[in-house]
Amino acid sequence: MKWRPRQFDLLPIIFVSPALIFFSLFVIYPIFQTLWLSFWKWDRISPSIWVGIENYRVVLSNPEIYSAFSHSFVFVIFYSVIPIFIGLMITLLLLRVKVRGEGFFRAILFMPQIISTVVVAISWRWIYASDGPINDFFIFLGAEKITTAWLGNFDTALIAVGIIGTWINYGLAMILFLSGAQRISQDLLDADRIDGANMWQEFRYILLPSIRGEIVIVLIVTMTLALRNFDIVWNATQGGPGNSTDVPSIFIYKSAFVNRYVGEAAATSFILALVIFSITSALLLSRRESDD
Amino acid sequence: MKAKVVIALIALSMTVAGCSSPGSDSENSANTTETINQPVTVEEVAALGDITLDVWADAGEEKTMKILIPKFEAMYPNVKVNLTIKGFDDLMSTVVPALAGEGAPDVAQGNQGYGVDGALVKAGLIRKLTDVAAAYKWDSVFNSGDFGQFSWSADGSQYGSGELFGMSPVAEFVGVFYNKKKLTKLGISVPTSFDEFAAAVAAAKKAGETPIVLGNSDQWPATHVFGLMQGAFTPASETKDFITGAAGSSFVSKTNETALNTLRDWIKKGYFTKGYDGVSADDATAKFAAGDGVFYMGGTWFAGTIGEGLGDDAGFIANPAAGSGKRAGTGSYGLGWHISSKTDALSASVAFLAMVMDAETAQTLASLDRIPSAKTSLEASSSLLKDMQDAGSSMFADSGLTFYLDWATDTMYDVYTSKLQEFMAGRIDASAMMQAVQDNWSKFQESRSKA
Repeated sequence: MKWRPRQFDLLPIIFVSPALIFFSLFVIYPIFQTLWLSFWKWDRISPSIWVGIENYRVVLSNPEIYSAFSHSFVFVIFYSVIPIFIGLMITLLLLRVKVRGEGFFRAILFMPQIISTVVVAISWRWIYASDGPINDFFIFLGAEKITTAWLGNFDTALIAVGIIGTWINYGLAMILFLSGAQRISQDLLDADRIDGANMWQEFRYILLPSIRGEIVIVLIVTMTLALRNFDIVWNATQGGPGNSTDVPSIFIYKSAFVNRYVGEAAATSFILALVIFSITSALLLSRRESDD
Repeated sequence: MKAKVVIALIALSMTVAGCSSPGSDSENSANTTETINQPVTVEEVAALGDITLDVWADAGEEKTMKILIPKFEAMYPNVKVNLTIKGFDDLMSTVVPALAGEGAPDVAQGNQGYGVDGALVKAGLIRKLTDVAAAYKWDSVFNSGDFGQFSWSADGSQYGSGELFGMSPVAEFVGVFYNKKKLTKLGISVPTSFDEFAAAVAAAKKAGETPIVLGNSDQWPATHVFGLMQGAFTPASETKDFITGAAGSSFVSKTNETALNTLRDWIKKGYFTKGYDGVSADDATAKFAAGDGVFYMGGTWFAGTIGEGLGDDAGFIANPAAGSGKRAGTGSYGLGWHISSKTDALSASVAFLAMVMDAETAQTLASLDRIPSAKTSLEASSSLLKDMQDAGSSMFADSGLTFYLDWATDTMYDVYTSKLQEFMAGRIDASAMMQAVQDNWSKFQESRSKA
């Protein structure tokens, strides 16, 4: 549709103005304030010095920021891709098999989503501990060689933190997919089964097209969570061991509040926001295009 | 095109953010230029009329403050103390902007080193205490050699000497806790030298015990363990010179290399808790307090937890010395108390600080399992506290508190903790670890000399 100038109508603006004011005050204003701060060298106490895009140069020439972003992209697999896969599998299963007490199981599987992430991270810290249940299980199997301090080992920490994200997010994917799948009419499913469709065909030609919108939403929500992840990493490993689980948010926190390089923190925040914005826009666009 | 977008963005952000440079509305001008020549009297404080004294303190001070504040308010009835207690991390991230902002606390705790105290001095946010120290004769009560950790040049550029800007009535240092019952069972006597310590640790390992309990998921505990190794091999003065930024100092040294390699050797031999990087400091302390392991290399601030768990079986020794025989290791006075340069209640602030530092408070601190930094001898409430006081005396006598390496620069904490962790895991060697620390230091010294 082509954009056409319309007659100016005040009424809609009045209706949206409460939300607009709120949104401007708490979203738009901070975004631009962050952008403004990113052009200054400021330690929160001394007078600030205008440095232009110097903070961006400093941030982008720091090799550690790239490793932090690469960890975030690994988290995308664990926070987004795997939960969506698990969610799809559960939905497909529940389409074919009627489980007694489905509501109860659904609620249980959704639980990780609603528990405070601090509690989740600390609980997993114990689960992953040298003398925690995971290692106990391996010892029980006679595989003592595999045991390690999962969050304290340079080789396993990133994946271990990622799995916490999977555990939190698959419930969200499942609930949304199941609610989307409820739109599929029973007639369609019956017809398709009479025609002898197998599980894969049911998945490919019925489930997937029906819940495409939900998949995009879950993708956006979980990818954003993965990229701006702070609480889980901070409470599980604080970015360690070494810098092996560092993510951009931890960088931002340390720069802004521990080392008081406010400009650099603001620049990193803005870069992170841009990355997230680009990815979510691309996803939304792809959805719109496929809807057309 | 790109330039246009950048300019448009800058213009837009200027408009929305209100055009002013960040921090331009904060005022750091000092209110008081008054000098303290005599101890403050009750009458002088009374002359202020009814006032509220805002005090910010670390959570570790809560018990002490609960005893001290009612005493202070009884002595100076016109003053009401408004205490804000914050956890360490929270205090460190908020105290600097708080002292810079409006409604700054009158008295607050900072932290030694360039990160916090250095920033406060540089911005003129805290008042010099040299006159207060003279008026109250602190140099006869405390070991004046220890004042360096609170001393700065007036512009905050040079650390370790100059004017006094803070003070603390307690010392906190890392030493070796041990489980007496386990030592007796293993037939080991309390080690008096580093060699004996190494032999004791080896014997504990042979007997199937965890020789040294360690939890390093918080990343700083291992720095304290290394601090003890470093203290055994490297002269304390060298470490302190490096931390205070003395020209020509270097972290890359033969003795530091020996300390690092000894640490790595002990890790390879399995002397520390298995999977220590996945165990938190609190969990490790709790385990040792519950009877796990033989030794625990930790700060005196763990005395409460360990003493409660092990009771009379808990013992403590100063860091065992190697060759030189001098005791040295990570430690310092507690978080320094400062007076805001913006306070409009100077006499009350000074009176408060004086009470924090007086001899009666020292006894109060000792009764709370803390180690007073005053030279006076005190009654110890338990055998563990007596051990710690003795350890303190031997460390003080050798000027052996080597501070904390992360004081050295404003970003040293991250570099030091993560590189040490990498070194301990065998991912980098000793020279790469030392060089990373040295590079951070050199870069900071360079930027400091430019400023």
